Amino acid sequence: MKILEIRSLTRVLMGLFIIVALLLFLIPIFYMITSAFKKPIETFAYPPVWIFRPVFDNFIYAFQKLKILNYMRNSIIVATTSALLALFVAFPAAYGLARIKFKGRNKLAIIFLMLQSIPTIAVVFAFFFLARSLSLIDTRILLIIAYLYWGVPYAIWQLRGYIMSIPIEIEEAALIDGCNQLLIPYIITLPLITPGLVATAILVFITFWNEYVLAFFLTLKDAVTLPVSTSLFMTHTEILWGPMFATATLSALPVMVFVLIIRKYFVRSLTYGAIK
Amino acid sequence: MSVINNRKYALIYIAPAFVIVVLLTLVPIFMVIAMSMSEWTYGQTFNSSTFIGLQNFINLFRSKELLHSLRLTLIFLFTSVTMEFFLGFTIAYFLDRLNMKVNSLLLGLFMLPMVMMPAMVGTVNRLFFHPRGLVNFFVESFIGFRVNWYSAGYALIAVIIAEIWQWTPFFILTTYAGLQAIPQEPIEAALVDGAGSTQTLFLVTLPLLTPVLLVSILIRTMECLRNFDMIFNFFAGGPGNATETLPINIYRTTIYSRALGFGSAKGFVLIALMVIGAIVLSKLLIKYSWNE
Repeated sequence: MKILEIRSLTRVLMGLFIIVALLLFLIPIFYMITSAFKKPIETFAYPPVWIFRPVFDNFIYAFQKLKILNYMRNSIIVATTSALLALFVAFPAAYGLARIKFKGRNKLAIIFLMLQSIPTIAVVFAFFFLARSLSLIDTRILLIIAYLYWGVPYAIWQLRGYIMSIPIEIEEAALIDGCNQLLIPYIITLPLITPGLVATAILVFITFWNEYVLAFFLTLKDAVTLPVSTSLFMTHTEILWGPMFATATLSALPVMVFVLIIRKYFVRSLTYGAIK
Repeated sequence: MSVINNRKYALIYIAPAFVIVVLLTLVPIFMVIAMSMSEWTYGQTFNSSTFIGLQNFINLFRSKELLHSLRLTLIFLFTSVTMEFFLGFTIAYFLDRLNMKVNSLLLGLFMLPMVMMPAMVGTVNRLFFHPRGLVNFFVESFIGFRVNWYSAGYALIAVIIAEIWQWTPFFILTTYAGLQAIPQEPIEAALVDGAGSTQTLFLVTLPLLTPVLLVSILIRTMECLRNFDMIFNFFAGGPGNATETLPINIYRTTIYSRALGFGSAKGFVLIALMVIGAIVLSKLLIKYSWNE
């Protein structure tokens, strides 16, 4: 609202409010990351220690004793594969829903949104029995498949919005030029929505990377992912705060970088394309 | 009339996704419905279960603990979403009014809490809300005494604060995007006609923003309703049952009390609430963004 001339005092107060708010949101993250480099006694110091000599003990402990690398590897494999698979399946469906006018296509879109909203905690025990009868418990392939239940409908809604925002005339021209209709989405449409596609892939990846409930109930030892590592830090005798901060930092940094890459598309990704 | 509009291709495009999603969701849901009509002790074989019809659902209405967790869930989501909304709206409105060059950088920084692993947020907050933790350091500096966040009276407040911390940025981003997207002419006209900036905000800007705000509120309400990861890793429903919201209650019924049937009946209630939310949301989304 550029037209509003704001008095300088109001400006200063508004600015101060924003600075204080920003600090409140960032201090916990800052403290979490710095605590990863503290010695145990500093981690638990009261009042909190802000200036200290960084050590890497917590990371070494997390990697050597807790084998965090295994969890990370599982997280990377599961989240990447499942996100790519979700997009691969969702893209043609999104194209169909965006471009072909058939009876009940809005209803179909609503059904996808409904299925995507199913709370995992309510169905996870059913997933568990299904997986056990298929002998898939504690495998990465199980998580990769199970995650699709949310990933595919979500990606459909997202991609549908991106496809609808580009003009259909380009596709029609290609069809008249003799392009196979089944290939048009891939040859013509796909390159035009690349930024949206990447943004969707990254958001699906982040969600899978952070997913807890399915991973918690469906894995035991071999396929455990990073979020489930939270239970490692509670031993019978102590809580391993230092290694926990190290692991929390390691699990947050990649997604923080990712989200800054897709900054422009982030709002759209969080609201099913409703807010751009 | 579009040549792309060839209906026989719709099936080829949509069928694979449809089959996969329906298999992955409807099969578990049917299992939940079947289990909700049984008395089945978790850990025992299927043969040991007995069919009891709607008895679990009848028991639901008599269950005091379900009422308790529904109450907690409502307090949790109502307080969180309201606070997130007001805080987020204020920050977004100020940013929009200030119209600074650093706005996009600030918005980028505000995004960071949202992408943190909710399970890790819960775990990390265990230490932050420890009686001798980071939060109490600030509380003590400002009001002079420490709060025992680990007590039954304060645990839910701690969970709500953690939720507000992580998700207020959602409202900052959506409201800011909305403020940037709404047409400026009505606002300018109101100001030219002599309306003050407060009047303009409430009478012109807010009505224009309604779709954005409704969608944001509904999305957040649904996410709060199914929040499991953060609360579970923070207090796991405790102390006692002070933070036992519906998702945690489902977990405890199924795993602690080993009542798979009763837990599934509760799960079904949660699914029903979410589906109702999703139907309303999809109506809003289609009404506001795809007016075909």
